[in-house]
Amino acid sequence: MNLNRRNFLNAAATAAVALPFIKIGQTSAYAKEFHGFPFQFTPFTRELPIPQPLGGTPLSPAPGTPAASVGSEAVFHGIAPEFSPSHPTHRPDWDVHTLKTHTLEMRKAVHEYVPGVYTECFTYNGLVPGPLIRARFGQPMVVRTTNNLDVETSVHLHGGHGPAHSDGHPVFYVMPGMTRDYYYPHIVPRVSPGGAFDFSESPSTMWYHDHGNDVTGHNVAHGLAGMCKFTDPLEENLMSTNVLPDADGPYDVPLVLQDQALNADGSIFYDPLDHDGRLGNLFIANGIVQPKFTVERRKYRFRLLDGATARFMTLRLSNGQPFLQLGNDSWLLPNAVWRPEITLSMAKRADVIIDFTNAPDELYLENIMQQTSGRGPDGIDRTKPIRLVKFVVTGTRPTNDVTVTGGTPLRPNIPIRDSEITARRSFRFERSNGAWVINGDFYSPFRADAVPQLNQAEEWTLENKSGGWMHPIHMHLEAHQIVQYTGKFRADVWLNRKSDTAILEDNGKVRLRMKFRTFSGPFSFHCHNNEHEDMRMMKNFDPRPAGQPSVLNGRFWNVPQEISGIPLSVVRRNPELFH
Amino acid sequence: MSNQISLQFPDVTVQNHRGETRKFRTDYVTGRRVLIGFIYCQCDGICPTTTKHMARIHQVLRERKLDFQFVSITVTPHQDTVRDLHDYAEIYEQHRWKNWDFVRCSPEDLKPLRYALGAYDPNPAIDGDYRQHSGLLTFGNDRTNRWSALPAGMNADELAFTVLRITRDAAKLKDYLQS
Ligand SMILES: [Cu+2]
Repeated sequence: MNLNRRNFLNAAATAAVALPFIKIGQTSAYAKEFHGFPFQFTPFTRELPIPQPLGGTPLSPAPGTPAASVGSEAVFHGIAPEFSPSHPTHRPDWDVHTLKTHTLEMRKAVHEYVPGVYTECFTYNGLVPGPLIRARFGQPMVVRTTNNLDVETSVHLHGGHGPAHSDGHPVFYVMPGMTRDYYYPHIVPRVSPGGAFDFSESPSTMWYHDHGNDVTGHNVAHGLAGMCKFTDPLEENLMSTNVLPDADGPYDVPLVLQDQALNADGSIFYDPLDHDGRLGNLFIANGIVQPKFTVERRKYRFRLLDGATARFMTLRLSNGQPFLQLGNDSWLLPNAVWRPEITLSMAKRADVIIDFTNAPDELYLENIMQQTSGRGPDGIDRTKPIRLVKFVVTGTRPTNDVTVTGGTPLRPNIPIRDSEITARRSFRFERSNGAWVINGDFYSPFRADAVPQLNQAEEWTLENKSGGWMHPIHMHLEAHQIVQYTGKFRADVWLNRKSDTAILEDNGKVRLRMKFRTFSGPFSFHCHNNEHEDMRMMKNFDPRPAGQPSVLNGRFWNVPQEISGIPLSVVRRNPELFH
Repeated sequence: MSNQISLQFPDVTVQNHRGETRKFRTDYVTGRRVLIGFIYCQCDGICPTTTKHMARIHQVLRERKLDFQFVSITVTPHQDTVRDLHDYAEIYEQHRWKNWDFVRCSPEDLKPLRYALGAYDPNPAIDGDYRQHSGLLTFGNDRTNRWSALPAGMNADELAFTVLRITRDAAKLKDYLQS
């Protein structure tokens, strides 16, 4: 939120009728106001809620059957064609385990961010954040997802490697009142076409959130986000040998960090005409404002997510002890690394151990990044910490604590070599009369901006010439590896390691390498400041075998309905619904 | 969507290209489907595209026989007179349509109006230079309280369809297809 703009609106309000808005951040002492004005509450009294795994549900009609195909009454948006075992992309070695099926309903529900303040949210299954998706390598999953909201949605599994139909492309909607079967094969890219799976690419900490065209910021701010834990045999081995805590036990905790803004009546404040990026003055962890977490005197794994729409965070612990970082974004690092502070942009994750063994009885997770505008953060101020979570440490140290420590080997990392690069592209991000252009173009959902050859590696240069703005750029489908970074957050960039969201700083430049394996698109890459994304700071890429054109060639009705999940008969009659 | 977004629009007095006086929120927004753009009569930059694309959207909405209001607001009210706005509308042949007004407000009212409509730049140097004014179209439906804005320079048909999607009255797909 832009403070100048807010002042203008307030000035306008006094001349007109009383507005329902609270006056967020009217003064420059913005960071001091985080105690939830105008609500009175005592922070750090409610216990941190832990997202519980989404339970299994048998599906009828069965996924992939004619009664559940695109255009059907039961599952209007159908399922990805790759679900069929006879699809050429679908190999027998995908299905190591039997199919897991789930249902997910997007619906309004009343949620209590602030004690005693009842807020109507958009939820997955009534929960903020949504239920934990628990995924395993080789265990295919179908999530039958129904949209009972009054707005278009599209679900993106951030960090996932899956079919285009299930990737949350902005116009591959779940329309209000309709259902889509999201198919996640939960496989990883291969070392070479037809070769073995490349377990250096297995993700660990993904998240899912809304991705609907022009409404992502609105829908995410209203609650549509949740976490996903993924394990493969390598990571399960780290757990069974007591290097890492059990992913399904009490010492492995997803922690969704967000900001929030509420009106005086408790409803969510969201201004769809604030295009800078929405900031809130309430600091939320796992869906509630400033909770406490009672922990044992031992090591805990936290999957930290900056799930805000526009706020950067620099995290530290109040007693000065470092984090032991295990992973960056979706992937484990080659070795665990001690970090005193970790800077995250929107959508980025840090997978960390906090060792409470010798910690004081009380300590805080703090954010020391100051931010007063959606354009980007103002900078770190170590004298102005914002407390996010209070840890209350109890008991005596266990005899069998996990053994991970600085340097512990986790997941091998294979850098993409110079000699593998078969194409280079560059993308220039600029501002144009209040909107965004990339290489001079506004986004179109129906234009392929890059058609990389399937199973090849490319090197992309992203350059930010937008004049005072920061843009965290998220690439769908695969990890990328940053090989060159210009900007002040250089210390938080893992060069030649896997990430899925690259911070593009003001006047910054990121050179990254990426492979395009397994799935043809379309997929997108875009700014993860959700308000910038909604102003269409986005592009499409569509990996294809050599010589094969993209399915995107200007018109929705050229996209096969199996891929989009939108019946072509409806698209032709009512194209306006799918733009 | 919870709060009534249009309440943030100041109800300022404007003059349209026919010389009539209107209240911005009361007459153009309350209870209606509306699309708002920003122009100035001397502009040879983005305004011609903005106005041409608005004309295309206008045509698509007319063909659908939908109720709607278009408003083009001048960002140079200190120099654009009612007469200038009328001539401008005539150049683009939009003066004949009753539901498209080219308007000026008092120079003091312009900034709050622009900010409320999302047509501003947080960089004061850019915001204060009318030649770099916002090229966004702001549109919504006050009945459903759904609002959005998109770059006027986008593909005009994609813009028109997006305006239809976002400002539609029936949210649920089945209700829409039956309406
Ligand atoms: Cu951005």
